[in-house]
Amino acid sequence: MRRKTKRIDFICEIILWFFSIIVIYPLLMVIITSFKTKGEAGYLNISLPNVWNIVENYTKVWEQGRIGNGFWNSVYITGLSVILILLLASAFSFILVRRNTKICRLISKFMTFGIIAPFAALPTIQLLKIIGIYGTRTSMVFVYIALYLPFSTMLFSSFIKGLPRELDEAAVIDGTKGFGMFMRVVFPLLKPVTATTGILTFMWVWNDFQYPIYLLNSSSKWTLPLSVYNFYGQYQRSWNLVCADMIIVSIPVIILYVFAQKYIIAGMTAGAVKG
Amino acid sequence: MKKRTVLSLIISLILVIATVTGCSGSGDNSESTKETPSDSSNDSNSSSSNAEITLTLYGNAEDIEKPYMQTIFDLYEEETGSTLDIVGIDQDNFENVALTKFQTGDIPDLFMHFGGYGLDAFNPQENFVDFSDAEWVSDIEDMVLSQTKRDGIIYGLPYWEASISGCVYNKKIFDESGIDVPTTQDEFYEVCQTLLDNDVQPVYMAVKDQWPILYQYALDPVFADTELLNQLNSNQTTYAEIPELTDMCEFYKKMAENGYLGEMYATDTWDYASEVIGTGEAAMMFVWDTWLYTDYDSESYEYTADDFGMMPAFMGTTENGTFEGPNCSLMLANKNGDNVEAAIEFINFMADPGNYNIGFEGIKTAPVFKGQNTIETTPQYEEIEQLFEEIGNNSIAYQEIIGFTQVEGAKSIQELLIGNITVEECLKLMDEDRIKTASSQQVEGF
Amino acid sequence: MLILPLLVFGIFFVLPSTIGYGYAFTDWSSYIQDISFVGIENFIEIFKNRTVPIAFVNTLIFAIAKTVIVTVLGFVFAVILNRKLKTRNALRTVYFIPAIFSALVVGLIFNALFEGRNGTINSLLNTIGLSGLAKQWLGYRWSAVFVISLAELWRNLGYAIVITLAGLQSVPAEYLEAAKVDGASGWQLFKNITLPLIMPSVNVNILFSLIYGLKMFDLVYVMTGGGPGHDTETFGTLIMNEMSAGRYSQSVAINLIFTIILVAAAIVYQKYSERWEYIE
Repeated sequence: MRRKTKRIDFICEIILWFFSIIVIYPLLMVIITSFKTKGEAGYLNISLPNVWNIVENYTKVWEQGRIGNGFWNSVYITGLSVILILLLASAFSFILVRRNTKICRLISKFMTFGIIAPFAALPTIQLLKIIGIYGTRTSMVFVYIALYLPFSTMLFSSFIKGLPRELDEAAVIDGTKGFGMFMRVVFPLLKPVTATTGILTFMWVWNDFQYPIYLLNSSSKWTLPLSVYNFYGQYQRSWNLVCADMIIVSIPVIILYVFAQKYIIAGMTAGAVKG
Repeated sequence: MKKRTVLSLIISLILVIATVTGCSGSGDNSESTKETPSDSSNDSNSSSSNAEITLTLYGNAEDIEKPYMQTIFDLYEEETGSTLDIVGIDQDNFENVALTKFQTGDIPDLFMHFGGYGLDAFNPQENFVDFSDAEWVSDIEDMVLSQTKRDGIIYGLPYWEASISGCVYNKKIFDESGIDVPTTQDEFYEVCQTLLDNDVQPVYMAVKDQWPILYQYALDPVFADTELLNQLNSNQTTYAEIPELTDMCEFYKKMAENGYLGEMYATDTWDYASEVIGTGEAAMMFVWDTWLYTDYDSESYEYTADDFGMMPAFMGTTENGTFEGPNCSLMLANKNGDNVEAAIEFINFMADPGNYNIGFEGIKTAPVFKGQNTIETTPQYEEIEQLFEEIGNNSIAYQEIIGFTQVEGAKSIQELLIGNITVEECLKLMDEDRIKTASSQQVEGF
Repeated sequence: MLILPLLVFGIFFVLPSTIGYGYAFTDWSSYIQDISFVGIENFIEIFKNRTVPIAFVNTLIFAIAKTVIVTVLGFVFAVILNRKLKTRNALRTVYFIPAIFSALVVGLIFNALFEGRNGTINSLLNTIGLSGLAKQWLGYRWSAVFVISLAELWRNLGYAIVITLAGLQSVPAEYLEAAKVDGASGWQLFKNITLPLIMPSVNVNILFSLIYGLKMFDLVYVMTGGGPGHDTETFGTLIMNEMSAGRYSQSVAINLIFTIILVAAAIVYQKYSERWEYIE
């Protein structure tokens, strides 16, 4: 029995690595293009560059794209948004799912509207102006929270629905109630979902460029993805620099993903339900 | 229960604090926008500018990256000690973002935009400084001056390059094949056929990207007739009713059907142009002269920029072909801004010959200012300068036709080229789109 | 705790969006300074617009293709990746990476791959002797739709895998252990315990795929601009075009109709999917 499982596993691995070419090939295209000169970069294939421009490209991107500045802006906005989204969405969806009253179900349906409706630039700007925070990075945090709350709530809800109620009931019997119960018993069980939602929202907020160009009013507040605009040349884009920029912008997300893998791996507290 | 309220309170507190710091944070961003050493305490010997002023400038990201823009920005910051907060937005989003900002009252101190009808969307009368009495007005070449005006008032400085558009051709290939430069539409078709017979693709047209279809070149000579233009713009006539427009569509159709655009025109892109032209795979292309020096990769290919000449664009609407004159982007100043004086000063700075000659040093362009002496006119322009005076046209279609869009009209022609629709249908679609835009703008007659 | 998130959501999202929709009933455009109400004029315009049916068909195709294929493939891959493979982490990271790239880069990649003259795919087809299949992929409607769908699939597989994986991880190990002790086989374990418990996450996957598939716009925009002509337009690109042409109120009107369709689709789906969920 064990041997059979191991063999299946092995075959699966081979198959998966075979198919991963579909992913790795384009990835190589981007990476290798970022090493080329502008002329060669026009072709976007994986032929090795004749002229290795790695250092020049990346330093150019760093300086011209003002990566340092953009990085901190992105960290501030994305970090704060994601942390708050996770906190709010998890508690919010827990209440919605467990209470299960008619209003709660209605609110859940209402959330669906949130993933459908598009960004209304003009009214949002006017609203922010009225409140007085237009153009600040903090206003973006609010907007992002509002934007990704529906998605996060739906994700959390779907998993909480899969959590057996016995856990809640067991915890109540044990004497912990309300918020304490949430933090100590339920939240740890939500690690996979939290990590997943965290990674996804982080990625979306980090990579977003539409909101910043409308809602920020000075280039010193710009986030990282906007740095790529510095490489839109006169009539042609410098694809080599664009690729290098994309890679720099993506690295934090990848690092975070690898890190979050730990939490997505089965983290079921063994023995939560005794007997 | 208690713990839950505590958490809610903490989160609310965080949000409030963030808001408060956000409020005060919006006004203290005086970081230098460039890596150049422009301290605020430099010797600012220019008039009365305060060293600490930061001017915001909005423009298209691609336009801002032009070398002569970057030079003048740096120069200004060094000499005056003020800083420029340059906000460059990508082509696809620029118009929308700019219009949104204007409509919400978030108007920058300086704004870069092309003139013509497109500028009216930004309500020049209300928003932009009137420069009609500026000193530098007399320094501007005539062929450019009309672009700075709306309703007779000069709003912006055309600190920009001037290129001439037409049809670029490979001189060497022409010589080898014994081809003379055509002077009429029919001769042009013959040239295409000869090239095709010699296994050379006659024209490279990046149809997939849509805008390189450049049909405005064909329209310019037609609407040089101001009366016709006015009739079009008040809906007294339409594209379909003007015979030359049908000729233009027939031209495009003929080019595609006879193989004069090659086999792969449906997926040809602008980015690929260098390669195709440079290897000699194709011999001609509709483009502007400075492209050969700013974008064409001379070093990588057999044919260098100087191997190319310029000839008129024979697009079916006139017998002798046409050139399109320059399209200049204007630098405009916010009339109602807090920094209006500094903004005006910046524009005057740009218009000073001492400064623009530094900015445009070595730049390939036709003259925009009369005092320009450091530019290099392209060999192509020099060759056809005389001819341009005779048959060239201002950029009328792009700037003055109400409802004209380079891309949307091109989409219809794209469908024509692929064979999906007929000439009549193509014109109908182009008219529909144009009329729709004009009526949404509540132009009289639509 | 219930109020706070609702408040933030309400103020910073629902409010602007609703006001935004109000513009659909005005004559707002880029050149107009004073906006006035025009009732349903914009909607009548839309019905006259001949690009709308094309966009409708394209949008449906993209959405359905994406939903079905991405969800199924995502599910399959997630299940496999859930096994105790040696290089599990590396594989998961690799399959997730496409999700990180922006539409610009993904569009760039697939444009280059399927490029007419020297693209990788055509070169490959030529070398293995199938040059009859090599064509101008992005130059004509259906092949372009195919390539764009492929690109969208490539990009979104990562999401589906991640979401399904998280669901798989949440299946309490105890249940599986207990069932194994009772003598259940691998397949039975899967069918009776895992599958029902992860149905909510699969449903979420399907819903998101559907909604975002219907909204699809950025990849199409980058790869074909909606062309050739209007052949690959979707609702999303249509809305964007109207915006670019300065016909704002039209753009919002189309958006409003679109939103209603999406909400309807979402509600219908949710009612239907609730049957599948196993809530103890």
